[in-house]
Order: sequence, then structure tokens, then C-alpha cells
Amino acid sequence: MSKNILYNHHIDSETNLKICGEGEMHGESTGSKEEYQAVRERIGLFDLSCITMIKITGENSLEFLEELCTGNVSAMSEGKIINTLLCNEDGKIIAIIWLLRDEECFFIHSDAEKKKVIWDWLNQHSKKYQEGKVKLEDLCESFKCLSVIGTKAIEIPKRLVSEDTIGLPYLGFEHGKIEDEIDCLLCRYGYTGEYEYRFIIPHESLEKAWHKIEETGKEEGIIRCGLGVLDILMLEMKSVNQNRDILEDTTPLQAGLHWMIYFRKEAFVGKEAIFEEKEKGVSSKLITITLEDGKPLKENSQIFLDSEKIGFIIHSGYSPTLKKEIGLAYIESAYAWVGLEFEAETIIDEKRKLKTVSAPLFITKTVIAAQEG
Amino acid sequence: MEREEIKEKIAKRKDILERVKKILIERLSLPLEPNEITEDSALFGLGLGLDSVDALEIVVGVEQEFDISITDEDMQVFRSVNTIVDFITEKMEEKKKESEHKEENHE
Repeated sequence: MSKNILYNHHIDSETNLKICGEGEMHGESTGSKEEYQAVRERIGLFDLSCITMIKITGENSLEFLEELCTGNVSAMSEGKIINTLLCNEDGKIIAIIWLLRDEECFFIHSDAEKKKVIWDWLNQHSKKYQEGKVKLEDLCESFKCLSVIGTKAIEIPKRLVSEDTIGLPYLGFEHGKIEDEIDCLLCRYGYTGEYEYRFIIPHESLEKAWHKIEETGKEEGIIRCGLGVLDILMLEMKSVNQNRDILEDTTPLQAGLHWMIYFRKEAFVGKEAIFEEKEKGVSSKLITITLEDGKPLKENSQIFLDSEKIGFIIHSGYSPTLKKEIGLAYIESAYAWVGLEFEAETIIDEKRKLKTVSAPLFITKTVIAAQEG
Repeated sequence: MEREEIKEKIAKRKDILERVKKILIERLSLPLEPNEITEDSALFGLGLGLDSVDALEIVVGVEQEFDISITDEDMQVFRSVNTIVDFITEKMEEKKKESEHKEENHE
């Protein structure tokens, strides 16, 4: 098992370890309350150095990505990011990606676990272009990613990169230097409802950047966080965790990812199947639930209306903000409506009440501050 | 929850939801059909990517369509299509109760 460059720091901070992507070990956590509060009230520092990063260049790169991605790639200007999907011909989700458009290239960022499937999919489709017209480069070894997330996260790039980064819009990125020393691509995107800035830096500068960020954030109470706490932060916002919430045959419309699709686009892989499903209607839908107190749930606990099985829970966890258990469930579309009550099965075959609710479950301080301008 | 109650709740919610989607599409000239908007789509940021001017348009549209008033304090409910529907449902129930109360007093 290979060790990430920050391995010793994760050990020092008593963070559990997680195997990411192709076998590097990274900081994981059980989603401790302290880490959760750091993000919702201050700043959390995350080692995302395991994420998938692929660079796409060549004169046909725009055409290539337009064909593969469900989003509107042509409408992207330089420095913009979209959150979009790669789907197969049957309209099933292959991966959820962030696509970045730079001056002369594109970047794809995604979860570590999706690296192989994305790489293979892009390679397979790039073959139809003349040699050199679409070039793919795996950046996972040469570049790494650190992320600061939280209500005060904006302070980090402001102090380390430039005061002007305050003007970097959500879903935007820019080139810069950390303290005039370390080249970085500063990206603003994320799923937690809080400010999130990702620093993409050369591999050899990872440890130095980590220290600089940690030192700079001390005043604001930054703490090191493991990836585990992201689960609950995302669940509260109904941000889909593609490694857990998306099954092999899940479609974008079942997962409620309509907004990642540009429906007016002439063509993209999977369009026909997605449009067919749009007209016919989906069989089940992903919906947020809250659970009343009770015994622990079975894994993928079935959901019942009387004795009829109408769905299952894909993912659940405890929300410190709401002080209750919340989750995501796939429910037959006839019943996948907010405001209903059903029952889920517990480990001792008892029934536990659940409610279907609207998402996001609450508005974060970051969003309130942004709305107030 | 009984099946009849579930049916009734779904029918009411469906009606409000369709009207809200219509407001969004028409008022904001969104290039979308109703079945291309998912109910939990965030209104701002990721999702529909609306801005504060769009938010005001939605407020005016909802007030006119459902004959309810929306204050600055209510703006926090404008997180997604579904949270708007929750808000409208609650307001309509309040109105219904008020009018029933008035009728009782009148009698």
C-alpha cells in the first residue's frame, strides 16, 4: 500500500486512514462533531490529494467533451467550471465530474474512486479522433489537491494568494501563487453549502502548502478534517455521493440530477435514453428522508407502505444541525413525494417511521451571508 | 399514514408544484420544460443557478399566483422548488384555518 505524502500528518492528528482510488492512503474520519462544527462554523482543511484530475488538450477537445458530457460545454468561458455527467448510451451514470475550461485546455476533476472508469471512457472515445486532436493526460501523480471548506474559508485564499480572490465567483477558477512561491490553480466549487476553495498544486509542494494553509487558518480556528465528515455535510444539502448513492443502473433523472443536463443540446452520449425516460417517467426517485428515533436500520433498509415494499434507504447518517438521523432513499416514483410518512425496517425487524422531506435541509450561514450580499 | 391520505397529499402537492414550475419557467424565461426541473434543484449556485434578481421575480410570481404575501424573513425558504412548495402549502393551510375561524365566529 503506498502512502500519501501527508501520511505522517494524518497519523499525528489521529485521523483514521482511508484507501483512495488506486491504493494511496489518505485521511479519513468517522465524521466527528468537532470536524463538522469546524466546517459549519469556521474552516476545515481536507487532503483531497487522491482526487481524479485529467487534462484534455487538442484542437478537437471541445467537440470531444461536448459529445461525452451532458452539460453545455460550448457555453463555458475560460475560468469557468460546470458540474456535469458522463453517461453511457443507455443513459446510465458513469461519473459525476467537474469540468474546468482553461485558456488552451480543459480539466476534469472527480472522486478518486472514479479515476479508472473515467480514464477508460475518455480513452475509448478519443480513439475516433485523429492522432493528436484529442490528448489526455493523467495529472493525478503530478498534481495534488488541498481543500478548505467552511464559513470562513474565504480567508485562506485571500491571505495566501491574493485579496482579489474575494471576487472569484462560485464555479470559477484562476491561476495564482501561494505566498508568491507555490503555483496553484485556485478553484471555487463544492457540495456542502459552504465556501469551498480547492488548491491544485504540484505534488512536490503538497506538504509545504498544507503547512502554510494550516498556519494561516489558525486564527480562524482551522482544523484538519478527514473525508468521512463530507458524507453528512453533503447529505444535508442532498448533494449526491456518487460512490454510494449512484448504483450501476441509476439514471440522472432518478438521482434528481436534471440540472447537470443541458436538454437543448443537439447530441450527447446517452441523450436518446434520457429523453425517452423523461417522456415515460422514472420508475423511482432519490428523495431525502428524516427518521424518527428507533433501533438502527438494516443496511439498505427496505421502505414499506403497509406491507408493500416501495423503496429502500441508500444512505443515512446523523445530522448535528438537525439533531436527527437523515438519509437518502430510492422510492417508487408514485410515492416519491415530499410530506409523506412510511416505515423502514430495523436490524431486529422492527419498523421505524420516516418522513420524506424537501432538500436542502437547511440554509447554511455561508448562503445567508451571500444572499445578504 | 393511510393510503387515502397519501393520495390526497400527493394530489395537492402536485398541483402546487406544477404551478411553481410554471412561474419559474415563464417569469425567468428558463429554456426548460417542467419535467426537466427536479423538485430539489437548488435555486442558487449549483442547480438552477439563479441570482437575487431572479429571486425577486419568483417572489412576485408566487405572491400573485397563490395570493399570499412573502416577507424578507421568509426568503430563507427559497432554497429549492420543493422548499417553496412547502412554504406555499403552509401559508395556504394557515389561510384556510383563518377563514374557517372567521366563519365560525360569524355563525
